[in-house]
Amino acid sequence: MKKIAALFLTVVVIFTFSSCASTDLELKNRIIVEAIGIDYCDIGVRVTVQFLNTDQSSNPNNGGPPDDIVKNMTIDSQNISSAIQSISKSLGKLPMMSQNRVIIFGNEAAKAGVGETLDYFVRNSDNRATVYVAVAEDTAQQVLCAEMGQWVIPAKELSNVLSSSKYNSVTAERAFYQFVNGVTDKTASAFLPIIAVEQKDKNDGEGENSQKNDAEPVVRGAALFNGDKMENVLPQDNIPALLMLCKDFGKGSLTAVLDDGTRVGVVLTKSKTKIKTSVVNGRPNFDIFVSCVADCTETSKIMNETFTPEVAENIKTASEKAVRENIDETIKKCFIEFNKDPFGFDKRVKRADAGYYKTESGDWQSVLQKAQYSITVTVKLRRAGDENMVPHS
Amino acid sequence: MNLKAKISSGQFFSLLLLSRFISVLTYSPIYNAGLSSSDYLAAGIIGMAIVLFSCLPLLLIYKNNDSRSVLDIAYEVSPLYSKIISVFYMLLFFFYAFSTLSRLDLFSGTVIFHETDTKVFVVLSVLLACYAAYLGLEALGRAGAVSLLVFSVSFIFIIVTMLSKLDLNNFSPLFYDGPKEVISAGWTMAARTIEPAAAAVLLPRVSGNKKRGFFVWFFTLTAFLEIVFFFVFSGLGDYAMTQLFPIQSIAVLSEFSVFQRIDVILTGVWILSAFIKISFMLYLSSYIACRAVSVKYKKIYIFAFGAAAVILQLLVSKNVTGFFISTSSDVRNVLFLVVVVFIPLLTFLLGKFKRKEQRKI
Repeated sequence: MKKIAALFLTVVVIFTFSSCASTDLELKNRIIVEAIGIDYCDIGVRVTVQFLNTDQSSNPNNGGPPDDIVKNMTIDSQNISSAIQSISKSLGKLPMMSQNRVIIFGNEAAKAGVGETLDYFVRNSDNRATVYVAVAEDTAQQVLCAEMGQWVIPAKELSNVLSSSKYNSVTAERAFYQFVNGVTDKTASAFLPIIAVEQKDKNDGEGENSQKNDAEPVVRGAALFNGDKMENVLPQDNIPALLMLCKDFGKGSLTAVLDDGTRVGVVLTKSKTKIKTSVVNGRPNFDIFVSCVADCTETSKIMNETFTPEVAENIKTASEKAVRENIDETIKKCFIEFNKDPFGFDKRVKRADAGYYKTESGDWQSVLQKAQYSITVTVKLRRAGDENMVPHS
Repeated sequence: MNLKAKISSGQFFSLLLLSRFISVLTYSPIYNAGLSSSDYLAAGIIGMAIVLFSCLPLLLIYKNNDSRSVLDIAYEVSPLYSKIISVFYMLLFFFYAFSTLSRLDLFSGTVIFHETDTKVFVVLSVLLACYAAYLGLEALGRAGAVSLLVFSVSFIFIIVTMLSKLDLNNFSPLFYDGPKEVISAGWTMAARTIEPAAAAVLLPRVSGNKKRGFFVWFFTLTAFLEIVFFFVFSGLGDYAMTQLFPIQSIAVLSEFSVFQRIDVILTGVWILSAFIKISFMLYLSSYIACRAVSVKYKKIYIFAFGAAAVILQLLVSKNVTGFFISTSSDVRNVLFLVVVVFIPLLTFLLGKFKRKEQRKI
């Protein structure tokens, strides 16, 4: 009897707990959303959705051109969820959000405030908290609909660009949950990378249609927010320092200039940042210690001139100076010029002196103006490449 | 269902661990809205200290003789008293079977089957849980031990793969908003720990070193609680407060090389643990009913409790706010104080008094 009951339950579970019961949930009947762009329009939001093209309209065996890998659709609606649901009216399929890679806010939308649009993504359990978020230099629709050669720039390319901070130090990579934390924090400033589309003219053969626009996504600085409204743009050159201070620096390069004018290319492969926070005489004080490991990749010296320990020491000193100046400039720009704290220093002050933070958190902008800081940078020159070195000059 | 069969200490406390783990996994910040991140760590310690104190009546009962449960002592005091406290125990375990089913329904409806009706899932889950409970304590003990192993491996894997996403900057200062909220949160966590009540009823059916088993259970649970809160808040920061199931959300952060979307592992473990707990609670309810009413209908009790849980859940889940009934702090507080603390203490005292009276005679 027990065996019969067990067998019966097993059979029932197999056919009901799986998705076999509903054909609506099969992949071919789903719109697999890969990117979402949000702009504002007269009636509410303009949602641009990029989704996988699961239908092949031409048979590859016939030699015909393949369709785009992805397709775009733009819908104007009162809110995001109704815009996305209305896609199914046109395509007859159910949208699937779990494969979404990128969320892009239009520039004007970011300036107007994106707080209202965040609720959809927080509430939707399909939306993953680790999705990359960015602000478009123009409109989100422009970024998602830009063409790279014959096809639209796929979301995979966009997410590769937005996640490239581990290879370079010029992308202020931000996941959705990090952005939400920044927006909801009343004293810190959220930031997002600014993504733009660079058009390149390409001469593709002869004839009237030989000139093609080849677009590629590029990152141009970081948008700094006050609450949910974008207010300032941090230039590209300051992004390495921003990442160092947020302890998100992966790998980056810089050009150090020696005293004799020699330009040295240096790749920073590791970076550790320690920040000691205290409150002294009613002012927050940050002692910033940055230690980096660097590789020398090239110098503008002629090759038969020798690379000696003295030269290595000069490179190290010049690199330290370059990093220190970059951090100093970035902090001044953010604290003094923009009145923003994208580094999360507010949390450090909160832990260092909770009473001070409680008293001053209502007017954090004036606290930033009077903040004091010191920067100590240590660079270790790990390698100098394959070129021969001599032990002394 | 063998009412006298014994299970090992390891199996029994594995069941208790799993039972409490699922409560932690389904923890929602709505229970303690406004509490800062670091304060959850402090609240966990306070909560477990309260749990330890709540186990003192158990210690008194089992100190001299661990072959009699609280129900046995109650029966010696008075059969009527035994029946009365049996009702309270049945109520407790039935409520937690319903509550776990309710969370399972909410979780599956929100995260897994958000486009389909979960009624079939709920009914089938309870049917399976009834069958598991019907197989008896030994089967549950074996399933609990294996499930705990699966749970531990997957949990450790998830934790290790999200190490790179931690940010200690997300922690607020301890007691930033004062100690009152922290103590209240600690109490809420303690009130969700009803496993001492299960021990009060079933400990005579456990063989092996029970004292060691208890302390391993206690310290493992404390460590688990602290680790989970540490990773939730250092990984997600304040974003965790926006999530209905923040522990499910931290699994989203887990990535290792080509291994992505590791949160699906947690989904499977979640459902397995919920299934074990519902089965265990149904078993306990029917076990007490057998002792209090009649052992003749032992097969019916399990399915009756299961059916009642399903009917209650289907009524409650018609409206999303109905889920608040199963998460009600008032009900949990009362059940914890009465069933976990007061009844064992009262039973011990009455039992001692009765024995003194009998010696005088």
